[in-house]
Amino acid sequence: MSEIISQSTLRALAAEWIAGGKSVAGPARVKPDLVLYRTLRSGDDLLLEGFQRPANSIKEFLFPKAEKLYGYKIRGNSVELIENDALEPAQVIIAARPCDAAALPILDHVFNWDFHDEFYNRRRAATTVVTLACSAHDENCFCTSVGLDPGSERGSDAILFALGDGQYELRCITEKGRALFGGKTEKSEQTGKTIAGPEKKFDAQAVRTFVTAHFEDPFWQEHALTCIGCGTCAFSCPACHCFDIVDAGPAAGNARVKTWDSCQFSTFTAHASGHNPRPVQPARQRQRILHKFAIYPEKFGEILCTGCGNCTRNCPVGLGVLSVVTEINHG
Amino acid sequence: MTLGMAAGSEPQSSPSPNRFAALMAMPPAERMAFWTEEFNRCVKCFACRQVCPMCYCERCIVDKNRPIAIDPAPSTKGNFAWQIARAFHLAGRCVGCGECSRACPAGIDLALLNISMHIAAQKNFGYEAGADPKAAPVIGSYTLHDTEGFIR
Repeated sequence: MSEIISQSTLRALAAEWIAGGKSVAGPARVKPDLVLYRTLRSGDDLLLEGFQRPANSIKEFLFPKAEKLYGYKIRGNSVELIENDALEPAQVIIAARPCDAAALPILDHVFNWDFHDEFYNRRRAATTVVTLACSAHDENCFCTSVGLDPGSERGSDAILFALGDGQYELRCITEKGRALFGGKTEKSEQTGKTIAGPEKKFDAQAVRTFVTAHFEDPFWQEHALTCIGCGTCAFSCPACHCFDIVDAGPAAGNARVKTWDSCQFSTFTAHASGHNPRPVQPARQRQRILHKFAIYPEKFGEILCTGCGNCTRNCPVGLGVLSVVTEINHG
Repeated sequence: MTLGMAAGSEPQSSPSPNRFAALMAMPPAERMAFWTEEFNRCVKCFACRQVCPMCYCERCIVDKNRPIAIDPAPSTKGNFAWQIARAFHLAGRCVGCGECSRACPAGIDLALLNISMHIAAQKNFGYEAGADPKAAPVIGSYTLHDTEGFIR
C-alpha cells in the first residue's frame, strides 16, 4: 500500500502554504532556456517536468548568497552593534532534486563543526525539504559515482516518485514531512520506482588516493589551462559552502554581511601582505578537487559532492568536477 | 577539453536581434523593474568579467577593499553597483562578442548594457570599438570638440 498525490493537489498545497505565510521554493522557469530554484509566488509557478535540473541549487534557501549578520553604527569613538535576530518564516522546498537534498547533511557538518552557525541552523530548523526523484539523467549527471542514486532519500523530509499521468507516490521520511501532507494523499497499490542511474563514471576512492599523493603534479597545470577563474562552479554547487564576511554600505555604519566566496577566485587566499599561497589557477583547481575528494572526506567521512553536474553545465568553458576526476581516474 | 574547443551547449533560444530596441522602448520605470529583477539573480560569480576579452585590469575595482568602492555582497545594491561600474568601464572597449550574456549562469543578458554604451560612444564621439586600430580610445582621449550633452 502506498500514498499518492496528484500534481494539481501538490500545486494547491503549495498555494495553501504560501497563503499560510510559509516561504515556498521550487523549480520555476525564469527564461525560455533557464530553470532555477526560486521562491514561488503561486502554485502554478512550480515546474515539475521537462527539464534535467535547475541551474542553481537549493543551498541558497539555507545559506543565502548574502546574509546580514548584524548592523552597526559608528558614533565618534564608539560602535553600536545591532543584532539580527529576526525569526525566519517556515519554509518548504518542493521538488528539490535528490542531489540537492543530499547536500544538506554535508552542509550541516560544516555549519556545526567548530562553530554552531546560528543563521544556517535557524533556517535549517524552519525548512522542510520535499524531494522529487529524478525520472531522467543527462551526460553531466554522476550521482552513482559518489554513492547516491536518482531516488536517494538523503536530506529529504519527504520524497515524490512520478507515476505518470500527473500522479506521484509520496513517501514521508520525517515527522516534518508527514506534517505537511496530513490528509492530502490517497491510498493506492501503485509504487514509484527509482530509475537506473547514470553509469558509474569514476572511482572516488582512486581519486582520493591520486589527489593525496599528487599535490605537485603537471596534471593540475594541464587541467587548469581552460579555467577562467570565475566562481560559477562553486556558486551553482549544492555542497560548496565557502563564504566571506564583508561590510556593506557606507563606512559610517550599515551591515556586516556573510557572502558566498569561491576558491577559484584569485583573491580567495590573498594575504594582506600581498603574498598568495595559491598564486595560480592550477593551485585553485587542485584545491577544489582536493577539498571535495580528500580534505572533507578525511574530516567528515563523506564526499563533498553529490554528482549533480551543475559545475559542468554552468561552466563557461565546459570544465567541471566530472571531466577532471574522470581524467584522474582513466588518464 | 582543449583551448578553442566549443564548450557547453548552444542556448536553446537565440536572443532576439531587436532585444535592445525592445528594452529601450520600455518606459524608464519598467526598465528599472526589469534590471532589478535581472540583477537580483546575480550571484557575483564574475563569469562575465572572467570571460570578457576586454576586462583585463590587473586588479578589478570590485576586488579592491582598502577602501571598498563597490559593495562586495551580491545584494541588490551591490549587484547594481557592480554591473553599472563594469558597463561604464567597457564603454568604447566592448567589442560585442556577447560572451558575458552566454557565460552568465543566472541568464542575465548583460550585453544589453554594453550595447547601450556602444551606442553612446558612437552617437557622441563617432567611436566604434575595434574598428580602427589607430583611433584613440574614447574614454582615454579628449578633444575640445567633445560634447557633454550625454551627461545629465
